[in-house]
Amino acid sequence: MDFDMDWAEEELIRAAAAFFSDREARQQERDSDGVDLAGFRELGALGWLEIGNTRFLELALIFEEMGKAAWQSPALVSGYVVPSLLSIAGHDSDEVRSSLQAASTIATVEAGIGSMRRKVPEVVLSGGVGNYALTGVTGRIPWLPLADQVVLEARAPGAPSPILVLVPTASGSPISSQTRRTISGIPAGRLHFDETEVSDQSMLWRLSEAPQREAFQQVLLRTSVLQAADIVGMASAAFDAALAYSRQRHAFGRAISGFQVIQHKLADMVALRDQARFLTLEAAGAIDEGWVEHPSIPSAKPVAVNAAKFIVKEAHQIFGGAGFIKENPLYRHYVGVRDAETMLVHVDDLLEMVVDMSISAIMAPP
Amino acid sequence: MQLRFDARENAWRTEVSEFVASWVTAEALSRIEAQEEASSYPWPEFSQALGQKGWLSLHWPKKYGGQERPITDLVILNEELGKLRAPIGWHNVATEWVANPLLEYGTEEQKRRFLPRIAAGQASYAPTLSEPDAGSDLAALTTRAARDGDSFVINGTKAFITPAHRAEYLWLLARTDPNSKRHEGLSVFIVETAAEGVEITRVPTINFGRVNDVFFNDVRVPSANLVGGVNEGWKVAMTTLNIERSGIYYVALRQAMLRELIAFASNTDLDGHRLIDDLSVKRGLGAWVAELEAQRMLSYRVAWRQAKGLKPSVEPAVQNLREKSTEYQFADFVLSVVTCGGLVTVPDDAGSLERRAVRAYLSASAQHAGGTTEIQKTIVARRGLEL
Repeated sequence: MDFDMDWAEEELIRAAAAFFSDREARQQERDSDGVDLAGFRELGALGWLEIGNTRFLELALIFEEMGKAAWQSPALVSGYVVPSLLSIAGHDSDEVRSSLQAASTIATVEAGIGSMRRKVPEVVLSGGVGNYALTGVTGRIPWLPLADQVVLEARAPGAPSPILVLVPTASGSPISSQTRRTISGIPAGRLHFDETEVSDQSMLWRLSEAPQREAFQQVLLRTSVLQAADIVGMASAAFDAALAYSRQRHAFGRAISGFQVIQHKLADMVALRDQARFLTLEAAGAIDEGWVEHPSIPSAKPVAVNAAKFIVKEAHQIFGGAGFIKENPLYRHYVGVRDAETMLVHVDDLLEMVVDMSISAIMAPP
Repeated sequence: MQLRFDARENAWRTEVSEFVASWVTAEALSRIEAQEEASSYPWPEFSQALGQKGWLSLHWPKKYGGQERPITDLVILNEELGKLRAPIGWHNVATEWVANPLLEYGTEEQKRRFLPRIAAGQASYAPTLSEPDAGSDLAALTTRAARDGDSFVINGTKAFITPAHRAEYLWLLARTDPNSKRHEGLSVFIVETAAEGVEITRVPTINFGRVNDVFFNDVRVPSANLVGGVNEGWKVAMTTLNIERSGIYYVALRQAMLRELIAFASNTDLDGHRLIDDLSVKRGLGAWVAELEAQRMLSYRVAWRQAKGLKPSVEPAVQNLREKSTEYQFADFVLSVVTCGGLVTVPDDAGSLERRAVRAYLSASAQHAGGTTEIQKTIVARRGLEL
């Protein structure tokens, strides 16, 4: 029984990712617009996000450090999700690599509508080879105002299942509207199509085809593990900040860390943080091993969200009024966790997947 | 990081699983789980079968009948026992609380005398520590052990002693120096329950089981039964807490119950649809699968540290804290699903999922065994976070 990565290697990866993420996060704080894609592009150029070149476990460590720094970037969706989809769709490696320099996003589930959400495809695909066109309005898409391209689900009339379409957002293409920022400041918007032409090369695949539907699900599951790592990072930073503050803040004549009620809050927080981190890294390792049915994979994000929401809430309690002012970095984790919960892969979907996987395991012959 | 088990460990897991499954059949479980008043499901024959395989003394030195196997093997054994709901109530106090301190602090004569029957699954012990006024604050105990020639005379009362009524021995912590400060002046004794002056009375518990009050009235215990020297009892008692401490058996036990619950929800028709198709039920089940998987990782972290020869510090407390903090919610959820959200009634069949769910709910009110959640939080805060 042993771990698959030694501590020295882990620390090296963490240190490099932390240095990069902290620098970008500080830059982001100075930027009045709040979002700068240069850092994300540099990350792509460094090859850190290259599928196949980087172990998933390493990716998870990188995303955890990004979460700690509360660096907002479309790295996950642009650097992992869309390139993975392109790769599965048969795009060659150069195209996939070049996509690491493009800001991309996906519109497969409308973020933030939760258990009452509807699947997105209100967008209808018409025509055929040589004259495909899209009509309709998407759900709200995070990162859309900055994106060069979008992968969305569209439905052809009469077709049993949607098709994934890659749509460039350059001029002459669909109209982006109703731009808003999410609670953590990520720009989001909807796409309007009106008989908008799309090329044959834009058609990625039909989700009716079992191997591709399975591949799509695997991409989303892996994405959820990286999100879990990001969320664990946020939770970890919030916990560290609260712990440090509890030692520094004096009340009733002593550091508040000396009060049992504060100690017990911190104990609950660290226990939750630890289990979320271990489960996430277990899931990342399982992906590297190709154990696609491992229960840790769909479990990681729900556990991370549950832990992080508790931790950021309790961290605010420990900070008291000092946590309520916007200059406290805790704010970024507080809202970041809430955004991450619903974006890209919804926790509710994962919980259902966990059970489906368990049923398969229970029903499987011994 | 992900923990890997090597080929030898995986083969060991298979061997354990097959053997345990050959004993722990549905019929056997139904019979054993009907002994609810016993509280922790003793099954001497099964314990003795494990003993015959040498599995109750896996990591002991060979000179005392052990196999000197790594602690990982014990973790795997415990996980497989939990997975299959194997009853371990007959031997687990002896193997977990008694054998390890004896190995570390016992005299050669004590090791030769007590260990073989523990290894064989023949001897049953009851940890006899807490008192009416000494629970979390164990060092406040007042049961007195006074030297008298070549023996000690015990007087006092112990409370909440779970298996005392069926144990052969009591693992007793008593005060040998009444003038000492708290943790000092305590000593550990092995006391036969049949000794003159030992009185055990039944105290019913809310989960259909019982604990016991144990009264010591001038009970004479030979000095040969003193473990670890006079006034060294605190150190000896704490040793019991430094053995395999991953808590994996209990995590696996809950995972087993959850698997049963998923099967139940899949096979239960409710107004024309399966219970599991109710999204609130399905997502609730999913949340518990995820939570218990995470707790399993915490258990593995403890096991890994022990396997590396690193003394677990705060890690067992973190694992225990998560396990205990969620015990009530888990039991409550199981009960809700198994009753389809309806009135909770108590079925007669002790082995049924519904009856076990009721019992789990009732048992979840007692989160003090092995240290309350507050104690675990204090350990995490003070030892882990250095507060």
